[in-house]
Amino acid sequence: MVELKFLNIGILSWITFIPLLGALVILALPNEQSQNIKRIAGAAALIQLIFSILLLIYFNSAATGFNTIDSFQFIEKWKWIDIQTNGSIPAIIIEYFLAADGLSVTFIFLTSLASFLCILASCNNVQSVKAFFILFLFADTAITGTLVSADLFLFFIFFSVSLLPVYFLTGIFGKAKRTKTSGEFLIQAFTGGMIIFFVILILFFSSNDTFSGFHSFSIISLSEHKNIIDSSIIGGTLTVARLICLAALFIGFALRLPLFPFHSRFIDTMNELPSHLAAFFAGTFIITGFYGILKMALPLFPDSAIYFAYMMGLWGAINIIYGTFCMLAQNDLKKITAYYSMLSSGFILLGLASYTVQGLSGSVFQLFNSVVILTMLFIISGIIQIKTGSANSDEFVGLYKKMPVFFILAIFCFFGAAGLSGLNSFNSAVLIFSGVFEVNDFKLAAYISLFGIIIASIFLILLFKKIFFGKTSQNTNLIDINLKDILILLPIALIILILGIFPSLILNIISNSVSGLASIISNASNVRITGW
Amino acid sequence: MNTEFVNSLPKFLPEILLCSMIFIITFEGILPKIKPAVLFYSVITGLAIILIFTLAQSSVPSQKLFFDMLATDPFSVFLKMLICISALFAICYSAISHETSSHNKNSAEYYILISGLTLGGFLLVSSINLLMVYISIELINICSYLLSGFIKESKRASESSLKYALSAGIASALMLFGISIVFGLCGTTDLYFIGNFLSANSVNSLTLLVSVLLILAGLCFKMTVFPSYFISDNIYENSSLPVTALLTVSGVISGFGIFARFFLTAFHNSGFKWEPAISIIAVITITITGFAALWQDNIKRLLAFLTFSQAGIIILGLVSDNPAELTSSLYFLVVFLFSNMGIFFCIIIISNKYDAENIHSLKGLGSNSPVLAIIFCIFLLSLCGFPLTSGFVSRFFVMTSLFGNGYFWPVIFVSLNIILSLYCILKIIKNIFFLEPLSGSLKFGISNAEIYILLILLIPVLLFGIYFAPLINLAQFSAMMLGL
Repeated sequence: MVELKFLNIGILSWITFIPLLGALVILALPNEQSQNIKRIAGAAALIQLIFSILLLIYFNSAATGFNTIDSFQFIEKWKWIDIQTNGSIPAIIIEYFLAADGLSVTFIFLTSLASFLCILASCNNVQSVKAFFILFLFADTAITGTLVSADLFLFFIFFSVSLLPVYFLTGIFGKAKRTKTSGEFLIQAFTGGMIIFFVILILFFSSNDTFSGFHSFSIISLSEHKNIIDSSIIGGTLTVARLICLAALFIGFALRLPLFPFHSRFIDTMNELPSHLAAFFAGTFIITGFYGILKMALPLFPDSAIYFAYMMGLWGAINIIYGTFCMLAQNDLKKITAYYSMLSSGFILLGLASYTVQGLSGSVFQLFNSVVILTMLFIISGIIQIKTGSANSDEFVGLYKKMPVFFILAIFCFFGAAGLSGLNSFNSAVLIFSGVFEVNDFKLAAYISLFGIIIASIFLILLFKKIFFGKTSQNTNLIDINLKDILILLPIALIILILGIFPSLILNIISNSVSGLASIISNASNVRITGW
Repeated sequence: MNTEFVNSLPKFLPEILLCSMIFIITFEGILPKIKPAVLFYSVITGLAIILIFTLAQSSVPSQKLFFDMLATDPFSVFLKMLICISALFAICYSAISHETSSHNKNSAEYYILISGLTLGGFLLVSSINLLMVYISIELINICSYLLSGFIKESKRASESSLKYALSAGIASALMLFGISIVFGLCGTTDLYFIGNFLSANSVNSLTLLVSVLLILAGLCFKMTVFPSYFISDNIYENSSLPVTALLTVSGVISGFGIFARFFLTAFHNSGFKWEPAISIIAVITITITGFAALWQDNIKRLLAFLTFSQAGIIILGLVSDNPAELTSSLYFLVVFLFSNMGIFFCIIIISNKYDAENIHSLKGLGSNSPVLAIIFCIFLLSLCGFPLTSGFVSRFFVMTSLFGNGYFWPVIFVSLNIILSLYCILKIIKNIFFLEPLSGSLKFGISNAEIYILLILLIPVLLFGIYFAPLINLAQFSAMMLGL
């Protein structure tokens, strides 16, 4: 078991709370010192990024299992709340329990990278600097906390608190429809949170930790089937209650994801947010949503997950088709990006539903890749918006001649999104399809998805052609991007390229977690719905 | 003198002090040219002393007082402290609010009425005899009519006073009728004797049901839950802000005291299944008020509806025959006290600067007075039960207590209520932070006294949302009723 400590505080606490510390320092500064505020925010994000790289380096990828004590590393565990038994109310023990496995480590790195780049990108185009950075860093803490907490109560707190900064940022910095959109998204996503909390309570009251003898919120103890009381509401396998719980968890998480039929609030919110904020929040919300599905829904109810596999695959396929055709109808680059997030979420769902090792690791890898590409697409759309003053892809054409450096960097992004071989998302797409075609009754979903993905790729390449090679635009005074923008885009472009050539860099880290998850699911049951 | 009477007196010290305080203020009020500040500080000091003496009672063993009329036990001491704290806050608010502080010449009367209300609350939460219950409720009611109509120049205040008098009169009349039927059935009005009688003898269940329903009418009116909440929202809308704050908070706390004691003692081991009935009442309350609040544009009405929802959730904590499980409700009451008092204080500060009747008048508060706006926002989020605030933790404990007793379905309604309340809260927050200030509204700061009071209220709201074990232990200790 790996441990890493600074000043006697574990590294995961540092990673989680450094942005919050930065936010508190900023809170003490007056609004006029905008330069210092930006520096502190950038420093906090940079330290977080360095710590998360340390995490990647020290992470022992040989640890096997999923949601077991051996699979978790950098564990920090203190009793937070300890309340004695009281009448028929059981003893409630809530732990401050942080732990990381392959999935968390990967996505913490991605989150902190995105947060650092987005802080860089938003330095020069924000009005109320103080409010902006406090809210942003607060969101960073909440989202990172979601990825490291191994106690479900703690997880829920972080998970739902992360909605609040998005609400305020949308409402304060958004466009014309900001007040309506921000409230609707908060209500929708928080409803999902309450559904999840209800399931967490059911899990808590149905569990009996064989070690301590009490009910437990710990994901480790809940994942072991022997800790769930047989006579409880979710005891046994494939009971109606278990099916409903899994469906509730899926809906709960989907309410904050761009998944049909709940996608429109997510897409509206991302459209309202300034591009550099959408770059951070679109990615991290997709990460936290799918992380919850991977960490909670699938391992805690593996039998029901198998049962619903066919529907999940079909749901993924519907998302791909729906997202693709919505994307075709748009000409606003930000909306196109938002719908791209919908189709890649569908793609991730399709891979998950196969429950094969290839499909699952393809999904997790695709999650990583699509978030990287989404971040870059949003940042690019922000840059284009600032340079040309328009987000409409019909109005800016022929950027190639004016902005060659920008063109080179954008190649990686658009072709990565289109799934060109040699770039990152090609590898994950191959893994997903090889996993999906292994399963017999998935043929329908797989063909639909393949069709959708191909259409989307063609569209993205045509879009790229239109933006960069169209007839020269009226804007004659366009200048190329400056060094700061290059510094923001270059790391992401490099990640896209390197992961295209060496996908094993990420796959090695996640492989043991993913195969642990796959074996949990394959050991659970064989009953499944096989088409209608 | 009778020895029992003499023995009871030391246990009755806080109430005796409260009575003597009322006398002292009366004399001060008669004195010519007495400064309002003198009155204010004497009331504050008096209440603080009473609070200390109440606190000192918490270690005294439980016993019956005055020929089985009253009881002292950890439960009543806990609620008395909360009532006393709410009165302290209300008096500070009255000095700050322009609405009430402009009526300085009557301030002695005003303080007497608040002290009377507090005395009524003290007696109500420790009553163990139905007659004593009735007398205490009447004492509270009379002080409440007068307080809500205290600003004589305001037509709306007079209206609310009259409405209160009529509706409370009906509620007490029904309750008295219920008490008389219970006396006819059991031959006693002592709650413990009723409990013993009902567990030993079988009575006509229909008659018992009718009498309980009639008594419930009075109790529900005090707790402002279904079916009587729709009268109260009008009263709260039209009274002055400090009075509304006191009536809602102190009313719910004292109402809960008798609500819990009545059901736990009179029906202890009686075989009469009251828990489902109470959960149905509570669920109807939180659902209807949650939806009703969605369409309110008036801040006071909106908060009134959210208060009724909270009262419903507090009652939901009463799902078992075992008083130890009152813990969740007692915890909720503390949170309720601080977050509601906080919200009302923020509104008082705002309405001192400009008219804050409608939620649209809050537009641009975020840029006019950012500190106040942020604190207001935290109180609002705690009110609706957003995670990381004590409001969420209090709802979490009610949910665990429901789950622990096997009531799954009310938990769904509590969750629904959190979402509905959040929606209402967002309507206010949207106006505060996202919309441009109205023309003519000015930037304003908050004074030192105001910031201290805000901090006293804010710290528990945030602290108990993150570290709640000490308060839960206190609530567990206090969830002990005499003889159970």
